[in-house]
Amino acid sequence: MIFITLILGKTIGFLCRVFHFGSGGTWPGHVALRFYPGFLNDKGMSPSRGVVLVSGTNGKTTVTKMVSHVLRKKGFLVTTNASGANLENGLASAIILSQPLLSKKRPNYFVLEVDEFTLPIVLEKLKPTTVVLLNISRDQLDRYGETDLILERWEYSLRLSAVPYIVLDKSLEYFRKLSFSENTVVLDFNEISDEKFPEDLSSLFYSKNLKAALAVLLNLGVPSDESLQHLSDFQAAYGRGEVLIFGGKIFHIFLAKNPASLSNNLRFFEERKDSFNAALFILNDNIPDGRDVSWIYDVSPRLILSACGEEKIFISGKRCYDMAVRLKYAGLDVREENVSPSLQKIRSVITADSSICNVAVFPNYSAMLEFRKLMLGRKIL
Amino acid sequence: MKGLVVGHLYPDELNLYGDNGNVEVVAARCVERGIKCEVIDVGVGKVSSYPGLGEVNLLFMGGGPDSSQKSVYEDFLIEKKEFVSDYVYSGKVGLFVCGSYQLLGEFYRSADGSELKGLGIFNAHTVHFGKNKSRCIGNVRAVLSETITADPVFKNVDFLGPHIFGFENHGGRTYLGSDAVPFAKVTHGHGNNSEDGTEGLLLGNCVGTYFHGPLLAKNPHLADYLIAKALGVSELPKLDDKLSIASYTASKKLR
Repeated sequence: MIFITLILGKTIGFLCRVFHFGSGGTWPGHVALRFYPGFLNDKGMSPSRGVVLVSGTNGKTTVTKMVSHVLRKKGFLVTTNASGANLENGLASAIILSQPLLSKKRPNYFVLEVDEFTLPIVLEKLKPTTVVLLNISRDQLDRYGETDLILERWEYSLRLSAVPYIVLDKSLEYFRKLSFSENTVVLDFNEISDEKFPEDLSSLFYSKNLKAALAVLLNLGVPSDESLQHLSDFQAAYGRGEVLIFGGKIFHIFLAKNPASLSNNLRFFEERKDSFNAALFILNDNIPDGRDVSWIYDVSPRLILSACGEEKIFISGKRCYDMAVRLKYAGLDVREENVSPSLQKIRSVITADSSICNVAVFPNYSAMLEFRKLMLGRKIL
Repeated sequence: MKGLVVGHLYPDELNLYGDNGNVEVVAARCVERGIKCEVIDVGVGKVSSYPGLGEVNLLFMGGGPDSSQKSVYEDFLIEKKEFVSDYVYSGKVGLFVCGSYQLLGEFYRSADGSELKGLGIFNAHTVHFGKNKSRCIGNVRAVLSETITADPVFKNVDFLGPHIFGFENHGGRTYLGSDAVPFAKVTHGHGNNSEDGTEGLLLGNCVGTYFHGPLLAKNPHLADYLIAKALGVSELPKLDDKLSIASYTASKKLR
């Protein structure tokens, strides 16, 4: 059964790539799960050493990439969903595409980022050794209801499945309130010392992400010094601090998909604003983003002004006018001619401006994919 | 003119879906016109511990996640009831969004049948049907009540017309009492209960509504109407609203 499912999944993945039908990040898993719904539970697929699942509103992709990066450098075979497809079909796709067909060799680890609402569903199937809970904040509330509900579901399902290790941030009150099975060891990643964090890593990736990754690795037997060494050549996950060059301008992408991530990125940007001359905000309201863009008002207007007050402002995306109004109320100098739903048009305006060299780009999720598509010809990897 | 004095109830606890943006918008629209604007944040505790509340001419309260609403519920019912009732009945301007709109009503009945008492100022009650009925979520459009559109002040400050746009996201469904005036009539979306086409409630110059967006950012003409009513003026200087108008126009097409 597994063999046929793998062939099926891999064929779909191959077709996706050949015909440029999606990125191949979800379809193989989607079809495989239709064909064999028990695929994820199948013991024949489980890795030899363990499964790490990373969930939370912000930082999943980065932490997942950090942990996989270090484990791979240590010579382990790691299956991960680097594309960020983190629903059940994305997890299945990652597993299918990384499994060699004609070899008995199994991966050592699965290190997977998992969507907040998918986590409870896959706990029983993937039987993780370690679950990382990064944070929970408002993101796509129109899809999910409220953050309380997510926490409730996490607590319930994690207690039920008695995961051996949970790594979380105890400095967050809402996490301290959770109670888990007595067989579960809860580790506080906030206890990891950031003294030895190299400047570029901790600032760019928000030191909490680094702490979480180190805590997981420590739990898997990798001392933090060693992990940091392996991370010295770590590259940002796509769209998270990634740098793209076009028309002589340098675009730095800072995924800003909810109030917490936009605020974090604005704070990061504020410290470096002298090296930038322009900021480009791109706001969409596609299904993966959430249809509700009200959250842009949950970011402090003072922060927006202090971070971007001296930059040239450009705005695009389906909801560019909502963003334009928001930034204007925060006190930014928003020019009508610099606002357009057409990303291509705004890019031309930017490239035509000789005074601009470095542009900070703040897109939400589908906007980030669109921007990469425009710049690189592909959305994801 | 003494200017706008905004009383902002529970800004830290009830700040879901960008609702605090409403305060930012009225403040910015006053400042741009050279009208003084002061915001008094009112948190948990006795009303007397917040000096200057007597000067408030625009009272605002948003909604929050269940846990935050629970945390201020007692305080609101015990410490703030008298102040809020006196305020609303005095005919001053108020805006209560989502959770706070529900709290100003008679009661909130949960899916398990338990009832939370409200302030009983708004002649309306809210019922949560649990899993039997899905949440009311999505872009929403409505036409303002004639009580507002027929007001000469609205006619003076209006530059966009009777339509308002927003985003709603509520599990509870609100039913108005027989003599209650709805704030608006829904043309797309759910409104109060997705049954009778009503949206929100209007009592004197106080509005209860399910519109997030935030409401006053998406509907700047309504923001100006509330500012003018609060200041007791019949006209306001026009602002450069090109971007707001573009956003308002784009909202017409949102599904």
